[in-house]
Amino acid sequence: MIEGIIVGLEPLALLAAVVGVLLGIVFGAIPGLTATLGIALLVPVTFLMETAHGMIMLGGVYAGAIYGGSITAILLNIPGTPASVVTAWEGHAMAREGDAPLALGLSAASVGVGGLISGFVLLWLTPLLASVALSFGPPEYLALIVFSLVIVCVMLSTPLLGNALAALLGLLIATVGTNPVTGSSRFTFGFYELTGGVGIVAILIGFFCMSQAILIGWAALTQHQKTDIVFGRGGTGGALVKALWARAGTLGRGTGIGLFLGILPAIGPETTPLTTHAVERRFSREADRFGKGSKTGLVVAESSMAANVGGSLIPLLALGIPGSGAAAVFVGALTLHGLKPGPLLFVEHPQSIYAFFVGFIVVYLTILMIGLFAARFFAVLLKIPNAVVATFVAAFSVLGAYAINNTMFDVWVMLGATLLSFCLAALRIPILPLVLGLILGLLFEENLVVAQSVVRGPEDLIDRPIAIGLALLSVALLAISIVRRKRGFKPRCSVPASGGSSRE
Amino acid sequence: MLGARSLSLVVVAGCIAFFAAGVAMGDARITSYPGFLLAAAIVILPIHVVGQFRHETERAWLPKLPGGRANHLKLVAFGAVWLIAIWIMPFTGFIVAMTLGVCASLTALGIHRLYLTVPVVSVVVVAIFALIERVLYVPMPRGPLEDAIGGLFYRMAQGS
Repeated sequence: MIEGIIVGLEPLALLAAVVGVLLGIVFGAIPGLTATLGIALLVPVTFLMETAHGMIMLGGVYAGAIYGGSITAILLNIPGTPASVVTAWEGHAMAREGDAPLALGLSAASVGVGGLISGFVLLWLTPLLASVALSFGPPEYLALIVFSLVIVCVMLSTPLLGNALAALLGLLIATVGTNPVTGSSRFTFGFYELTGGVGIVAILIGFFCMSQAILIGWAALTQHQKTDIVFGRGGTGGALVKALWARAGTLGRGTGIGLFLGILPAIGPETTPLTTHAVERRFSREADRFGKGSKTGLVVAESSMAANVGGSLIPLLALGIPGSGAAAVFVGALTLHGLKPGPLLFVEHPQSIYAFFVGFIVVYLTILMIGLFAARFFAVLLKIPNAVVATFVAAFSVLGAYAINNTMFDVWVMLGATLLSFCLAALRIPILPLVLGLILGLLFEENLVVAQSVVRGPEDLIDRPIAIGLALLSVALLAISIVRRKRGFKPRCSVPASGGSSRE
Repeated sequence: MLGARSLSLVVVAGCIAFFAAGVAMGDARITSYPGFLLAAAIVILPIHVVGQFRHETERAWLPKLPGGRANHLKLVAFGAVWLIAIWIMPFTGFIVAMTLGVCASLTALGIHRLYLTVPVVSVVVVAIFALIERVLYVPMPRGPLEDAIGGLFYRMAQGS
C-alpha cells in the first residue's frame, strides 16, 4: 500500500493526473465530446506509460470531462456532457445575472470537495468491499451479475422488455469467440480475428464516439450558437467562500447521495444531479429559486456529480462491475493493461491500484485548482466549429479502433457498432444494458459453467446467503418495477438510450 | 420503401440471425447457454417492437433537418466519406486516406476553404502518423507515401 502511495505521488504520476484532467476538461467542455469518448480515444496513448500512470491519466480524463461539461453549461447553457444538465439550469441563470465567475467558482469548489471525499472513500471502502468479494464463489458472482443487469434494466426509463433485450444482446455478443468449456471456436464464421472475441473497445468507440461524431455533424448542419454572456469580474474570493460555507450541509448531502448512487450499477453521473437536485429542492428554504439560478441547486448538483464518479469506480475495481458508461470503457482500458477488475486486483496488483487511488485524489485537487483559477480560459474552446469537432471525432474514432489490435477488422466492427447503436435507438432499445451484458458476458458464462458443477440442488444453496439474498433482491426489484410500470410510474433515470443520443 | 424504423428492425434482426446461423451450423446447441440467450432474444424482439409501435405509423426516425433534403444529403455524404476512407485505407495508406477523409468530411459539413484545410490537414495527419509510428510503435496501414516517408526516416537515422 505504501509503495503504491509513493508511486502515485511520483512526478510522472502527478503529471499524468494534470494532463488527464486538462484533456478531460477539453473533452467535457466541447459539447458532444463525453467522458466516455475521451477515455476510449486516449486508451492507446496509455500504452506509452507505466500502467499506474496510464490509469491515473484516464481517471483524470474521466473526472475532468465530467467537470469540463459544467463550463459550457454555465457559460453557454450547453451542457458539455449529459451530466451537466442541472448545472446549465442553475449556473447559466446565475451567469445571465452577471455571476458567471461565482457560478464557475462554486461549480469548481463543489466538484473539488465532492470528488476529494469520494477519492478518500474509494481509498478505504474499495479494499474493504474487495475483501468481502474474495469470499464470493461462482453462485455469488452469478447472482451479482444478474442483480447488476436487473438493476440497470429497472432503473432505465426505456421499456422494460427493450432493456432486457439489450442485456440479452450484450450477453449474446459476448459469446462470440472461444467456448470457455470446450475451447472450440464459436460464431466466428471463419474470421480468425473473432477467435479472441469481439473487440469490446472497438464496439464502445462505435457506440459512444462515432455515433457522437454523426450527431455533432448533424448539429453542425443545423445550429449556430453564439453566447451573449458578459464575463464579469470577481466572485471567486470571499464571496465564494461565504456562499460555500453557507451551503456546507448541502455540499455534504450532495456528496453522500452522489457516492451512494455511484456505487449502484447503472446510476452514472448523468442522472445523479437530477435526483439530488430534486431531493434538495424538497428540503431547501429557497425552493422557489431552484431552476432560476439557485446557488444551493448548483452546489448540490455539482458535488453529487463529482462524488458519483468516485462511487462508480468502487464496484468497478472491487467487483469488476462498471457503474456507468464511462466506467465501462474504463474496464476495457484496465483489461487491455492486464489488470482484471475484481477482488484479486488488490492481491495481484496492489501497487498499481493504490497508486491509482492516490492519483485520483490528486486529480480532484488539480480540478479544484484549475476550476478556481483557470476555468475562464477554457471558454476559448467554444469557438471550435461543430464541423471540425465532428470530423476529428470521426478521424480519432477510426484511429482509436485501429490502434487497439493494429487491424482494420476492428475499424469495421466499430462501424457496425455505430450502425447498431442508431438502429437500437430507433427501436427504443437502450445501449447501457447491452454494454453491461457485453462486458460481464464472459465472466457470467465462466461462472455459470463452474456453478453448474458446484450447485447440484437447492440444498447446496443453503449456506450461500449472499447469493440467495442477491437473487431474491433481483426478483423483488423486477417484480416491483413491473407492477409500478403497469400502474403508469416511469423511472426518473433517463440515462441516454444510446451512445448516439447522449447529446440530447 | 422501408422506413428508418423498419430498416433498424432488419439490422437488429440480422444481428440475431447471425447467431441463429451459428447455432444452425453447429457452433452451439440450442439447449446451451448461447442457445438460450438466442431463443429469448428471438421471442422478446417481436413482442417489444409490436408493443412499442403498434399504434404508431412508420415514419422516418431522423427528425427533419432545417434545410431539408440538402442537409440530409450532406449528413449522408459525411457518413459515406468515412466509409470510403476506411475502405481505401489498406490500399492508399493512412496518410492519403485520412487526409482525403478529413478534407472531404469538412467540406460535407460546410467548411469549404480547401486552400486552407488541405495543407493544414496534411501536416496534422503526417504529424499524427509520425507520432503513432515512431513514438507509439503502432504499425499503421501503409501505402506508397508511407513507404517513402519510412525510407526518409531510415536515411535520416543512418545519417546519409
